[in-house]
Amino acid sequence: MNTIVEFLSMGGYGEYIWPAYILSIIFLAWSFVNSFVELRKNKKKLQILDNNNPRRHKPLAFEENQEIDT
Amino acid sequence: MINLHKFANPTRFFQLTSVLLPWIGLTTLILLSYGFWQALFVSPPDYQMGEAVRIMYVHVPAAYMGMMVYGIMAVASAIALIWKHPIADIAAKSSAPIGAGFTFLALVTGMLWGQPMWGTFWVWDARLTSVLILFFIYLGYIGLWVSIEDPSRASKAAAILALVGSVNLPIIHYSVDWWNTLHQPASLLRADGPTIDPGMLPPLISLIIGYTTFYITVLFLRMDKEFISRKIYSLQILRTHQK
Repeated sequence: MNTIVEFLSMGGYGEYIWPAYILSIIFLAWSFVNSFVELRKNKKKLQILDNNNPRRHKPLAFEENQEIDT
Repeated sequence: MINLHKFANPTRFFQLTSVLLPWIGLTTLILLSYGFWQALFVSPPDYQMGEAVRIMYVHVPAAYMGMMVYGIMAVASAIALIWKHPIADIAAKSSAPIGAGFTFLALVTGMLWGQPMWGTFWVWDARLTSVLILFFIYLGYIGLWVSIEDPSRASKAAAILALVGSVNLPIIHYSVDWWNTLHQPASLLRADGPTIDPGMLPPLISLIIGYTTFYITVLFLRMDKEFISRKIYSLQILRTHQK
């Protein structure tokens, strides 16, 4: 028990070290999860748009392979 | 020389990113796990600052990323502005919030390190001030995208801000040499090589690389999301005109 307390106190600097690490990990985790979820939401939205109005004409220019004019 | 034009094709680009994504994600997970484990449990305390040195392992990678992401954003902005490369534009816009987050993290972890070490959370020295300015430039860049309705006008304005703001990067890097700063001088990116204890290198290097692969992972996700957003926007306009 003592060693756990000792470890957490980090030589007295624990009150600075742990917030730094916790904030960093929260930032990393939240960024990833948020980006992943937003992408999935958008993919779903696009699917709904495509399903509601199925295109009867061929794909438009911006949806097709584009080449840059040099 | 990378053939940029090949990757101007969004469909091809995002096919590539979806293949690469799981691997880059896995690499990130491994590097971050190893890095944090080394940082908290294995690496030695510093002979001067004791355990407080462990904040370095989250502060330095965040600071590097804040600057590296801005550099990438500026280069992507230039490519978008000059060649109207569609992927470059999306890359710049998608990078900004990630870079802003890293910069904010660098500032906060720096404050948490400064208080026990220097006796103060903040000082207006050249390094801290220029990084704070970097953070404000990020916010301004994001603000331009949010506030300008027309995407192509927003893109141009944001690109110009990104390019003008890039003068801040060498200022940040050399600030500890050019001015008398409280922030310590470089101990890693130095002409004669790193000066830190070798036991501190494993967590530092793996977290720097891990943060980089993390950025790439999240960047690909955000770029795909942004590309689909633009598709949705165009389709909605098209559908409105069709009715």
